Amino acid sequence: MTATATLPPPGAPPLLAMESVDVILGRGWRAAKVLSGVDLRIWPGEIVGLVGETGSGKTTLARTVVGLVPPARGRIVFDGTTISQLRPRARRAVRRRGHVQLVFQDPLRSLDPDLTVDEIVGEGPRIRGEADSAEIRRRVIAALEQVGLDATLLDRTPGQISGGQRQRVSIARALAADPRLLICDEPVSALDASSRNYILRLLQQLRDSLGLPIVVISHDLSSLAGIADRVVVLYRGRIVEDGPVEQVFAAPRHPYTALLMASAPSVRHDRPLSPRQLRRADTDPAPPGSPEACVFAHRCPFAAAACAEQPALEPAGERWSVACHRREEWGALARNRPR
Amino acid sequence: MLINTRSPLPDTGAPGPGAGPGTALRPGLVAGTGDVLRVDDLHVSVHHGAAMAVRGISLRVRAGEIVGLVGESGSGKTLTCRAALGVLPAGCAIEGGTVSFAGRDLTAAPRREWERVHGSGMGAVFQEPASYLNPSISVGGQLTEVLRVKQALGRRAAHQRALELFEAVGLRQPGRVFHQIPAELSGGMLQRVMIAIAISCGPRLLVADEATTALDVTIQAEVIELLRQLRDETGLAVLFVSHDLALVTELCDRVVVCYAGEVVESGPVQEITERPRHPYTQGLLQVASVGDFRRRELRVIAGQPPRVGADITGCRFAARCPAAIPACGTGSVSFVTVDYQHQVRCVRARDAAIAGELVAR
Repeated sequence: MTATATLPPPGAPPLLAMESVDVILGRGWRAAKVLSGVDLRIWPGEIVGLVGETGSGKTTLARTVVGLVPPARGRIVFDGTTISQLRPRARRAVRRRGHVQLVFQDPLRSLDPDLTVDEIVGEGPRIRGEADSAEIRRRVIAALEQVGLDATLLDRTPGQISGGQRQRVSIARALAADPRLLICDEPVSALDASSRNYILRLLQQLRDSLGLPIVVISHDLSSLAGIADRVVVLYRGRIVEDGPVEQVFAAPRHPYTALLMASAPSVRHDRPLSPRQLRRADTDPAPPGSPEACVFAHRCPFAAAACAEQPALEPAGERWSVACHRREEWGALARNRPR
Repeated sequence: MLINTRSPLPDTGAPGPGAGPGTALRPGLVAGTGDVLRVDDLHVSVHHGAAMAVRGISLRVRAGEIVGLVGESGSGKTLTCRAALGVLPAGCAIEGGTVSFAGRDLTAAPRREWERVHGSGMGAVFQEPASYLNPSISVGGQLTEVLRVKQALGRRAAHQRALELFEAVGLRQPGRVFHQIPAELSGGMLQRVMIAIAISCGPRLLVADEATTALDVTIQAEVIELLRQLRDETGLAVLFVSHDLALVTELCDRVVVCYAGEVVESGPVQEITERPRHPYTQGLLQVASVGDFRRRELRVIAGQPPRVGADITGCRFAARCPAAIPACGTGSVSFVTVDYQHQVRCVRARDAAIAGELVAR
């Protein structure tokens, strides 16, 4: 398949570059640091899977890239423009151009129930006044065709079509804006297994035919492995592992990535490590409690004295980086724990 | 009853009762296994009788057994478990068939009987724990309320029992959790609280409807382990409803696959995953997250399930079935036994080509 063909040549400029980005949400005593020191690059034509649990900052990361959340620190460069330094007015202008498009998790809630499919998909171009109505109509139909829907759906409302079709409408809405980068926030978690695979396959086809880079936020690692080129694992606002999907899933270097993989339900039951081997037991020594400790230390059965300090994201291979002090040791320790 | 118990296939060398994979029960629990829950030929209508969403679903859950009920949205799995619990949504009604709990037919029983069985005899856990808990009362208060009403425990005894239950479902620091309100707890902790409430009166059956769907994958694995541990320790029977076949195969002893309001296949979990006979089950297995972390072609089941209540002659899956033959469109398809405890509703159930399809995958 298209496994390595999509890897960009080394040295090519990334389409999107986030450099030590911090995001703080809320003010005063409510202020919470949601992203810390996030370094992320997206190259044209790649599919990046972003995984992590509730509250790990996946959605905030997506909103930061779109420009809905200003970063407190760091730089975000999109296609040569440093969007993090723009003034609000200029930032809004960039956002309105629609080069980065978001697809949300629950289309029933993110699509206006009173609008027809035609109005939803054509809303962006119409607001921007890019073309006359006949031209926009043509673009709406073209966008629907790209997601495998036909023009008979144009006059239906979101309530009158199935869940899988609704998610395809939200993707068509994003495509109608002619995006340079597509970010899908949990696009399949509300769907049945079959519709889920249909949508993921569709994203892969869009990448292949349009060369569109796509970030897929998902907690289903197994189906992500089927389509993504790279996987980025987020834990409590920090990237803990970032690398080529095949290598990371063959031998994860961060214990959290391994825990996610071991916890994924499987028909085959042939996991190399069980979740229990990767979870803290009450008998494990207490983790370092310092405020600077590794974000994962409190759940990590392999935490040692060195983990009292947050590890930096360091190279662990080609295009592969990991933030773990014990990345060389934990694997052997895990295999010796009771299953 | 729709279950047709013809003799097993002659060439499969079907094991006798007690020797096959159906005896996945823990040895200690096999003794005295009556059916805790038995649903027979259940028919449920929706939209005030306008459409029949459940068309003759039958299933049974024995003591100490975990049965998985799988299907897409609209397959009737949730309505079946709601009917079993006696909590059908407005506009839905049982049109035929019976629901028996511990040998007693509940469909014919008065309301008081249902209420006695509820909470005490069967507990339930649903998808969004937060929406089933009162947001302004401490979770401990909500658990002791159940204990005091259903078990007539005193204030002190209820408090003590609540702490024990919180500990049993794996909540660390039960004394602290007791006084917290739902908003202060994470989704996984809330689901544990819901399980504590569901098992508080020592039920014989726990119905879990998409109980782990909204949880993170690491928490989901913990809740699955908790359910298995409760079964092992107390002999609790569990009806586990989910759309995720992979998850069901992780936890369950037996699987019942629903499609468009009918049971299309049921059998021991190992039989279903290794020798699925119904093309729909085979499709589900191919689209499920098989625990494969390699790059691969993601498969889909072509087509859409029929509209809820649609009248279809013959097999309801035929329109989407890659193995459909003209005979599939005529007359109703009987539910035949193909192996020990393994039943299939398919015209081609005995066709070797169908059975071999997945093996070749």
